Amino acid sequence: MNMNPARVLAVDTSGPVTSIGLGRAGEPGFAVAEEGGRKHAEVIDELMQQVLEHLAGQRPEVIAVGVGPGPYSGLRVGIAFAIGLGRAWQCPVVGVCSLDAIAWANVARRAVPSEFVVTTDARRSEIYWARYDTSAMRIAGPQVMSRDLIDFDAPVISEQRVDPGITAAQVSRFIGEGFTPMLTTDTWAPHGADGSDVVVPRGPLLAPHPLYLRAPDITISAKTPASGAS
Amino acid sequence: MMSSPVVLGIETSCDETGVGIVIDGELRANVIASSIDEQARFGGVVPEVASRAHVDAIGPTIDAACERSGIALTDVDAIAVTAGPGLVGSLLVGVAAAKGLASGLGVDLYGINHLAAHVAVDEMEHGELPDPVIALLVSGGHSSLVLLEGDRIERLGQTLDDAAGEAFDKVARVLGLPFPGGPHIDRAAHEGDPSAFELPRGLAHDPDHRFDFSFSGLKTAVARLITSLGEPVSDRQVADVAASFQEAVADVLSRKAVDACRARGVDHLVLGGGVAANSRLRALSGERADSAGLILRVPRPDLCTDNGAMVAALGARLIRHGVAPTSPGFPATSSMPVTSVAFS
Ligand SMILES: [Zn+2]
Repeated sequence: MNMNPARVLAVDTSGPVTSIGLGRAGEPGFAVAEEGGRKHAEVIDELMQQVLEHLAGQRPEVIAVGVGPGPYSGLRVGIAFAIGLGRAWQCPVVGVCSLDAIAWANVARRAVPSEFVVTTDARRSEIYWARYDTSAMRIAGPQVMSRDLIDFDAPVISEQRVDPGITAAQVSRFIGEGFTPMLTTDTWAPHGADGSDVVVPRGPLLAPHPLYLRAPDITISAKTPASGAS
Repeated sequence: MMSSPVVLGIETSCDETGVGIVIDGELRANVIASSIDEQARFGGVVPEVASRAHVDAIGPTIDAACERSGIALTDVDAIAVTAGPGLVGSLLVGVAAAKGLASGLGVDLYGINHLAAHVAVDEMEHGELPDPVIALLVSGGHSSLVLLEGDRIERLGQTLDDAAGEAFDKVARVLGLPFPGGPHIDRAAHEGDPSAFELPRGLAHDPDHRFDFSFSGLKTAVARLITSLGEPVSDRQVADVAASFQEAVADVLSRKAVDACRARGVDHLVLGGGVAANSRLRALSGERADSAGLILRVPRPDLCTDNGAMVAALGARLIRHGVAPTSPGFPATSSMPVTSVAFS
């Protein structure tokens, strides 16, 4: 049996940054990222080329992907990419709540003296939030709520800093500690009616499925713009 | 160059998640997961619902295609994926999955044009296509006349308003028939008289839009006609309206397609898109092609609708023609440049 901690590749596209990293328990290895400007789907394979060069023919044993919450189109790029990569490498793909990943990066950078809250912009004057203990285990959320309706009694981290190297190392540690990915999606409502009704599994390893937290906008459109496919 | 390449094609431009596998020029798998049942609840395609369905379906659809074709992903030599045109949110899922697959497998990737794929798929059934060829591509998402020549695609004409398939859906709704409208109107029309009602042929004689289409006037005319018939509309009347509407659509589509072949001196016409499954369009196009001395090629219905086989077929064709794979960093785009068969 291989007693080495699993080497994990982590992908995140839940915010404006597209990032891919490598790591294993206690050893955040390598990370590449591209901020804003160009879109996730356009930069992700170029970033992956750099990761492949760094890997030099080796293969991670697990892929972890940020499942949000975050803007849906971008989110799905990372998840679909991870699913394709997982099929190619025949290795498991686990989802991680992107707010958890921010919390892990926060705790990895400095000692945290108290419970804290991570928030990201959910547009429409709303925020996504989740609450963490001092070891960055999620104790509440994620939920989506109006910015004005919420007043946290704990320090709030509102910058979107997913470090995919730290994510990969953390996921590797969870796997080593025997955390089982909660790979069913029926434990929460994937098309949930509204944020407060959505139940997300408490465990840190989820299915590679977006945390939408909102029902889809039912706007029936012409399938394609007239300038496009018509 | 690969002698007998294994090409996997991914299609997610609208509401079907399709994965096809072509081995040595032969179609070996064509698996489709559709969110059509979900979409039917809304009477049309809801982009966000389609995108959500794609991301859930893409992995299992890839697995099913491999199983069906009896190959492992490690046998795949190249991946082709629809990069546009289509719904951007939907396209992104396929493009991202294809990029993940291709970089994991270390194989070439082709970001291709959906319209060209509708043409290339006919090679899976009727053998290599001549060059050049004209195609009439009609579906819920597009109505275009295109000329495919080498690795170039030229759009000769397009709809100025509704897509042909959309017109079928909207008229079906007016007639109280279910979504998607195409097959239901086709069935109802069998019992009806196509000359029962005089309906407009949009742009039929407009020299500025010789190869363009317009269906919104026709759609409005049908709505007005139904109102004028008063309640309740009998089954007989529904059949007559369906037949007259279908005749008007098939007439204008087939007439312009044959006219385009004549104008460009092209002797092969291919039909593609979901509306190509319409029995009257097939029959009338056949008659007119015959009398104009053209050869009409129509893929079987399951290859006409959006699917992964057509993407794999185009990928295989590009490899055969020695076209270089697409460089990393290509986008998914709602309006793929009409001149490109594939991104370079
Ligand atoms: Zn199509």
